[in-house]
Amino acid sequence: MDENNLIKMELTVNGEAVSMIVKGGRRLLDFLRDDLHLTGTKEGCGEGECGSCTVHLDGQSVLACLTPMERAIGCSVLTIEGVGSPTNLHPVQAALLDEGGVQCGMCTPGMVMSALDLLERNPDPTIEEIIEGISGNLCRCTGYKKIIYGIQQAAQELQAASPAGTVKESVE
Amino acid sequence: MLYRKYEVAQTLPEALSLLSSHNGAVVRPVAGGTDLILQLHERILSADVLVDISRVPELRGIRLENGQLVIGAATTYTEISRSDLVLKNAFVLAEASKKIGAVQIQNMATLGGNIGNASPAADAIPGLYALQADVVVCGPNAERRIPITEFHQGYRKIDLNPGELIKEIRFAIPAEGTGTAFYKYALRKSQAISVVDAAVCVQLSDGVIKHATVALGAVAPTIIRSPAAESVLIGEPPSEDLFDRAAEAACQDARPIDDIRGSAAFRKYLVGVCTSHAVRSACERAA
Ligand SMILES: Cc1cc2nc3c(=O)[nH]c(=O)nc-3n(C[C@H](O)[C@H](O)[C@H](O)COP(=O)(O)OP(=O)(O)OC[C@H]3O[C@@H](n4cnc5c(N)ncnc54)[C@H](O)[C@@H]3O)c2cc1C
Ligand code: FES
Ligand code: FES
Repeated sequence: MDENNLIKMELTVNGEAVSMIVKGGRRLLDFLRDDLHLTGTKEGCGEGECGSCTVHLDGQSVLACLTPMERAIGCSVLTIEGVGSPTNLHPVQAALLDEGGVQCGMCTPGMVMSALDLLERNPDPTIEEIIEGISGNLCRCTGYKKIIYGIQQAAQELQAASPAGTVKESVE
Repeated sequence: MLYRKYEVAQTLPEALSLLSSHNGAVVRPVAGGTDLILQLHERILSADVLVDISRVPELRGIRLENGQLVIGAATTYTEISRSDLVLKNAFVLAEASKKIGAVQIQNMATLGGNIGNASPAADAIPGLYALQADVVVCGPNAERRIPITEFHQGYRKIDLNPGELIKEIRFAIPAEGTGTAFYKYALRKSQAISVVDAAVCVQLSDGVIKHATVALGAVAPTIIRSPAAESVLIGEPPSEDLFDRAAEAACQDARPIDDIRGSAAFRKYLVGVCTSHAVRSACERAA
């Protein structure tokens, strides 16, 4: 065992291969923010309650604050930085802005990651299903309604764009 | 640093040998990490080495074997709630899985972790009491099979020796005409610890309850069965009056405490509410 607990993090992040020697024994959240400087993934509560650290690990939404970083070795991680870009927003991001579902923005990356996870499994969700899909994400500002409408709008747009197919995440 | 070393086990023998190969170090298995990583982060626990058992094939998946349903310890709630075998034979476990945390927690957290963490408010365990499940534990040399009611020995105390792992849960497929249900009262719909919950299994035959198990969560140091409620139900046809009497009987078996989520008196009241809802749903599903 290396005294400094240095480990090799080899994985795919937002479609790009990453390989670096870093200090182990931390949370995936710390690796993403402190080592990769991907600060779009937020730490709200640090205890699994708020969902602001939601990322996708091999296509499933997980909480980066409760995931040991070494678990991501050999996996594919998608963070908010890999979803759309400032000049080419993903339909979910655009719809949240459109509907006024973003205020301070702290919850937004996690909300978007949860919405993508939901639409991936269920491209045409009911309002109830949207509420269930984001029930692990807290928002202090919006009162949720505008976020729910935003996700509904995005689902309709995505359905219209690819009526038969499933929603594909746009990885930069 | 939360731990010094992280080892990923690929097989069950490897997991067992990793658990016992670090002399003097604190070694802990980690499945979903939703209890353990939080406890390490908040310094409630410490660990030198974590052994990741989440990908061990022998601990994963749901299968039928000689009339028994077998659920691997490292199976997640998302997998349980989507399993046709569970939906058909043990609906109570799918219902409970959907009420644990929210989507992200359900994607990460496992049945074995709920049993290992042994909270008296653990939501997957009442269903296992109602289904009269056994816990299969394996160590370096042997496997043991223990009824879940004996596996949980006291407040956060389980019958697991150092170096052992919970391998799987097993229970007999409920007989024809059985309905099962879980009812949870919490302060919010998602991400909330149960104030009280109840899991029920009833078998109807010719319009009469032939067999009933009632389990209660968060009202005693461990999950408990309610023999009083069960004996009220057995031999009777389902009716609103019967559900009320079963609820009253369940209150007698509960020994709740005051805490931040509710007073003992409120919990006693909720035992009745949860029991009657769960018994009613189970009877409807059995019919
Ligand atoms: C935000 C949040 C919400 C939650 N909501 C709920 C809820 O609604 N209901 C509920 O019941 N729980 C809830 N929990 C608690 C937790 O998610 C569950 O107890 C879960 O089942 C734990 O599983 P895990 O795989 O994540 O366990 P881990 O954290 O990996 O492990 C838990 C403990 O069990 C041990 N362990 C794990 N697997 C094994 C094994 N196979 N053999 C031996 N020991 C093992 C570990 O060493 C550790 O001590 C919540 C937690 C969070 C953070
Ligand atoms: S920071 Fe991970 S859930 Fe709040
Ligand atoms: S916009 Fe501020 S927390 Fe949601």
